[in-house]
Amino acid sequence: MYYNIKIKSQQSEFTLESNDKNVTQREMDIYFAYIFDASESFKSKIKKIVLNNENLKSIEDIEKLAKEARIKKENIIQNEIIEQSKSNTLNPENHQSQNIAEISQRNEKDTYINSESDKFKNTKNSISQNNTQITPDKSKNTSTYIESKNIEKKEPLKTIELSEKAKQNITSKNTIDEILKLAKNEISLIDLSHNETSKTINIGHSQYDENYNNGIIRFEVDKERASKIKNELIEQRELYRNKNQTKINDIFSISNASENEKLIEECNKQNIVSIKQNEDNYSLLQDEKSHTNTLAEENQAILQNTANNDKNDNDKISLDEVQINLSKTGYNDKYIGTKPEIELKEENTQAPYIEFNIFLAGFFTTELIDEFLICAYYIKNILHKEDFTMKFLNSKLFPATGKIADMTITAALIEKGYIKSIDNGDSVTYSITPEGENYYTQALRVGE
Amino acid sequence: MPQYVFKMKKGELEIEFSSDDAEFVEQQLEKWREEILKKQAQ
Repeated sequence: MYYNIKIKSQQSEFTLESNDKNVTQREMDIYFAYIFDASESFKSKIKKIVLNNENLKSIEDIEKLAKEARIKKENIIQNEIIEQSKSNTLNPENHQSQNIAEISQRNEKDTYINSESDKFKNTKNSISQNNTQITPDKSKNTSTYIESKNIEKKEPLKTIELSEKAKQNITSKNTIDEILKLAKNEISLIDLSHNETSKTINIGHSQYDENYNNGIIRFEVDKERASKIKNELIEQRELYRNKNQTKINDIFSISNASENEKLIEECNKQNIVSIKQNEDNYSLLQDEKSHTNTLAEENQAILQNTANNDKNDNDKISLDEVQINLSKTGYNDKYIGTKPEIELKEENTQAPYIEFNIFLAGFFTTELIDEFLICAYYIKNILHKEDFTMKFLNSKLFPATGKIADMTITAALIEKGYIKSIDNGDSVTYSITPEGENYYTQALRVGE
Repeated sequence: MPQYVFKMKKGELEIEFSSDDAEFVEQQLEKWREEILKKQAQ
């Protein structure tokens, strides 16, 4: 199959040649939107681009706009859309009337175009596999996310999602002093996110303990209380430090979200952490000579580590897991000089199962829409999860394919009846349908 | 194998779309046609 597009004007022409219909489809829709002055709803479905200049007359105009267009990575757009969706779940009256396209349209007030806009510069291009390769942004994986599912009431200092064991020790009635006393010097990171969209305190334990909600305890507080607690914590930390004559970072660190992101970035620049994958587990080394892992490799290791933890955490799947695993793999822990190796070995003593990249290797397809469906089948029949979020699916898909699926793929599969969306009230998940499984069996598994 | 070539013009600009995937061609053209009609109706 081939899918070619030729754009011509009196002055010039250029051609895109591709055998990937997903790429061609998106490109064609962008050109169509430009040239034929498509509606806003049509443009919003493209997601990559929203036009500000509606008076295009020539390819030169298109080229100019493309050059001036702001480049925005797919994963950032995805995160914005999902974050916006989460915000909407906190306001159900808004959520019900908004579809993904509308959310996207509202988010993308600026003009976005992806890096493929470089093709505008060429008079003739040939592309074969042109899906954008994306390296996850580590700084986004810090403690700035909120798990909207878990936030039910906006009451000050509410303890949420604690295990039974943790509830025995820490309850919503605990004062911050009592919490500190319980946590002692195990607290590694207190992240105060008290902006308008996230009113959360995350207390991460340096010593990973699954009974402490994967090391993260969340409280929902208002802005004033968050500031007050932060000051109290700093004061307590100083007292503890003076009393025990220890370095400040050996106890715990306190930061707000933006400060924490800077610290994580500094960690990345300094290559403090390297991750080595052994047969059975990951170990963390602080040897400066062994800092050979690339950002992408580390992210892949993190995502694989996330996959390894899925089987024991089937009902808590979200991007927060990436954040949690960052902590497990040491971005936070290394910063404050703790020793997470013991905990990592304990948590990885799980029965082996099929990784998605191995599972996918049994198929011939390289098309994203098919890989999406294979991944959906994998999640249901291998991971035994009835439904999934886009983030969760992409956490499987990206390490195996280097591609990230967006809502256009989802919409296409829903239209074909191969997957269905499930409205959970405060979130939307997806599930493969019997028709999708039938297509998977009949069409995709032809090699078996 | 059949080949499908479609051209659409607006002013001096022209989009030429060619493929041997009949189903994809149908979907894409239908989508564009609906969009054009929708705009005309506005």
